[in-house]
Parts: sequence; structure tokens; C-alpha cells
Amino acid sequence: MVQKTNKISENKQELSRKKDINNAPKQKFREKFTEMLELPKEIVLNMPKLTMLGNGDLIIENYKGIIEYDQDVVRVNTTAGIIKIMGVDIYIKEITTENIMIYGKILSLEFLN
Amino acid sequence: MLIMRLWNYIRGYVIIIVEGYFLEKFINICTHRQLRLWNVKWQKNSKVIMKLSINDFRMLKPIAKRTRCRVHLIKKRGLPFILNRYKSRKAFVIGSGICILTFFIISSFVWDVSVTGNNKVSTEVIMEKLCENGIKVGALKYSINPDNIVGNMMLQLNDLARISISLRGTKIQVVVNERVNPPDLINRNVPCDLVALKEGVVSSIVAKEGLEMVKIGDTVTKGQLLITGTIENMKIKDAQPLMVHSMGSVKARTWYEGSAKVEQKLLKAKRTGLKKNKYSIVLFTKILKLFHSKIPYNNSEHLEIRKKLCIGEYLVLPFELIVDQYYEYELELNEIDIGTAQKIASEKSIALAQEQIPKNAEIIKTGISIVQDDNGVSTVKALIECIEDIGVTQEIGGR
Repeated sequence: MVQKTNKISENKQELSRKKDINNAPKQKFREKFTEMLELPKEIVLNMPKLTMLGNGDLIIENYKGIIEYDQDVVRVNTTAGIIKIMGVDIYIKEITTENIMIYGKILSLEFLN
Repeated sequence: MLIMRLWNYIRGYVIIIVEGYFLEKFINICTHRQLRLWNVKWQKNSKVIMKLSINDFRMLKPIAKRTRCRVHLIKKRGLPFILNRYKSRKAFVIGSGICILTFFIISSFVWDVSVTGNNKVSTEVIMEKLCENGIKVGALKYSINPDNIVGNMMLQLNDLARISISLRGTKIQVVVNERVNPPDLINRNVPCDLVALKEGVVSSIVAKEGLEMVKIGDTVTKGQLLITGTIENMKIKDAQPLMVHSMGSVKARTWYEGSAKVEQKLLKAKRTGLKKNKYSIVLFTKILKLFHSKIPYNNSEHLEIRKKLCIGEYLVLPFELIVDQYYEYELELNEIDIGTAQKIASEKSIALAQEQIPKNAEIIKTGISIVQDDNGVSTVKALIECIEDIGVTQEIGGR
């Protein structure tokens, strides 16, 4: 029984790996295609668009959701990976399905993949 | 975003504190369900403070249940809550409504009519005519058409050159200009004489047309012929005389007199300092007397002070306070010395004499003489000498 379950999990892993392999060229093709036609990436590739005004206001469009919201740390999930924002007294000024506005004194902005 | 904040205020919003372990999940679910959150701030001990609109707040319960978060409502802000608060105070709302309504009703009437610019035509006459045309205290503002009334007034009052009626707020301002009557001119072609208007001694005479009948230094009486328009033909006696429209200027010395008695005993009214006020209130057009009693003074001076309640310059309200002030006075007999008494008398006499002098006369000399009669009463006589034009045209054969 244990072996069987192991096998099943292995199978699953393999399947997902295969999916990744299948997905990767597709993604690359899309990227190339949009680059060739100079289409806006944030629409076609669903890439996040970050607008920052000094170190004060950060607007992230096309985000997926917030992962962590703690004192001085905000982690936002996007298609381009997780964005980790650290700062002093930062807070979410406004949040809707499409964009999130983070105000406060931002000290660092990291992309975690 | 000021507009956004204003919109939020009008729609109404709540400030809540969310407490729990899956705050991120809570926020994510909220956004997925199209709830708009703003000013999401992290607090101590895994608490988050945030604002959201009233409608969104109603949909919060299932989300809180699912994420096992507790939602505390801290503050309600916005217009809907304020309106809701006043729902229970019906009397207040009704009262304020009535207040505004009465204000509108009151301000749709005319409460003050003022006439300015009239000298000869009395204010009463103008007011009476205005009243006939519908302008009076208490008339409905919208029924007044100033343009029509101006036309009517001009027809009804002959002595006015211009009249303007302006309606501002609850006040009607009537400004009139009086007509200056043109002098009765005799036609240039009608033959006429120049006669004396009053007595005097001729000081200069210039005839532009016609024949001089008097010389310089002659004393003339009222109505005397000065320049004649009938010119006899010197050579042929029987011929028709030449009739001209005589013109010229005849200046003469004239005298004006004024006299006043020298009085050493002067009766003077002196206020004793006692005062009594009577108050009355005018509501619309009715006078309400407040605590009126008899005046306990024998001699008293009456002074009326009217105070109208008005907002700004033009919004006069139909409430008026009248203060009748009565000052008690005593008659005092004052003795003054001859010098000042004579001075007072001479000033009085000069003033009397000057009243008679017409505008175009030129004053040359002012003389004062004191005359004492048998009873010991002395009078001051003032004699003012003037030079003025005394010639007046008069039609030959007419008048």
C-alpha cells in the first residue's frame, strides 16, 4: 500500500513536471510574440505593472493577492513572482481586485521567485 | 483624491477593526468579492484597521466566518448616519422646515418703501400714487412690475422728470427727479416791454432792443416801464410806431429789511435728565404696544426712534421696534447782558432779511441799527442792500 501511494505521488510529480516542460515553451513563445509585435505585456502576459512615486507610493496593477501583511512588511503575489515590500509605517491605501496601493516610507522592494 | 473622499462621505462608510490569524486571506476574499477597502492599516496584535462602505459592510459577515476573523465596528461616518440621527428628531426637522418656509414667504412681500430725490413734490403724494399702483408695504413682490408702474407714475405725476423703481430684496427704492419748469418765455416775434419786478434805484441800464425809459439813479416802483418796445417814429408823427421785442438788462439797488427785538430775558428749555421710554413692536403692519403707561411729566420732549430688522442692506423683515423717548424739561428764565442780547437779535434780523433775497442778487452792504421806542423796548433792524436784475418782459397790451 505504501509503495502504491509512493508510486502515485511519483506519478503526480512526473505529471506536473511534464506540464512544466510543456508550459515553458508556450510561455516563451508568447513572450517572444508580444515582444515582436510590441504589444503591452501587462495585458497579454498578465504581468504586474508597478508605479512608484519616489519612495512613497507604490501602485501595483495586475496583482494576484496578498500573501503577507504584517508590520512594515507586505508580500504581494504576482505572475512575475512574489514582491516583498519593506518599509516604515507602510499601509494599504486602497485595494481592489486589480490594483493595490501601498503608502508609507518604502525602504526595499524585492522580487522573490 | 478629494472627490473620492467626498463621495465616500456622501455614501457613508464605516471604520472597522478585523482581528484574526488569516488577515491576508480576509483581505484577499474581500477584494475578490468586489468589496472596496481603503486605508488598511496594520495594528498591534494581528489587528487590522480599515474603512469600507456601508453596502460592503453588510457582505462582510460570511467572509469573517470563513476566515475566522472577528470584526469590530468602531465608527460610522458619512451623510446617511447623520440623516438617520435626525430621523428621530421629527420636531426639529419640521421646525426647521417651517422656519425656512416662513422666511421664503415673508421675503416675497415688500416691507419697506423709500422715496428719495423729491423736493417740491411731497413724499405723501408719491406714496399715495405708488399705493394706487400697487406698491405698498405688504404687497406681494411678484405682482409688482416696475416698468409698468414707472409708466403710470409718469403719467399721473406731472412734476416728475424721471422716476425709477427698483425692487431689491424686500425693499423698494423709488428715486425721483423733479422737473424744472422752463421759464415763461415770450416769443421773440411778439413785441413787449421790460418792466420793473420790484422797487429800487436803477444802477445800470442797457437796452439791446427798445428804448430806455429810465436813467441811472431813478427810483422805480413795481411795474414801472423800464424799456419800451413801442418806438415812435420821430420824423413822421402819424405813422404807426415800430413794435419791437425789447431786451436788455436793468440792474437796480434794492433793500431788504429784517427786524428783531432785543430780549434780555430768555426762556430756555432745559432737560432735567428724567427720561421715559416706551417700546412698541410693529409686526407686519400692526403696532403692538408694550407696557405703555402715562407720562408723568408736565413738559416733555418726544423723540421717536425706529429700528427695522433687516438682513443685509436689502432684505428688510416686517419687524420693527419703535422706541418713544420722552425727556422731561423745565422752562428756565435766563438773564443775559445787553451786548449778547443785541448780538442774538442782530443775527436773527439779518437771517430774516436774507430769507427774502433772491438767489441772483448780489449783496453789497449790510447795515444794522438799534432803535429804542418809548417803552424801553429796543429792536434791531437789519438793512441789506443788493444789486439785482429787476427787468421782466411783459407783452404789450397783454396782461
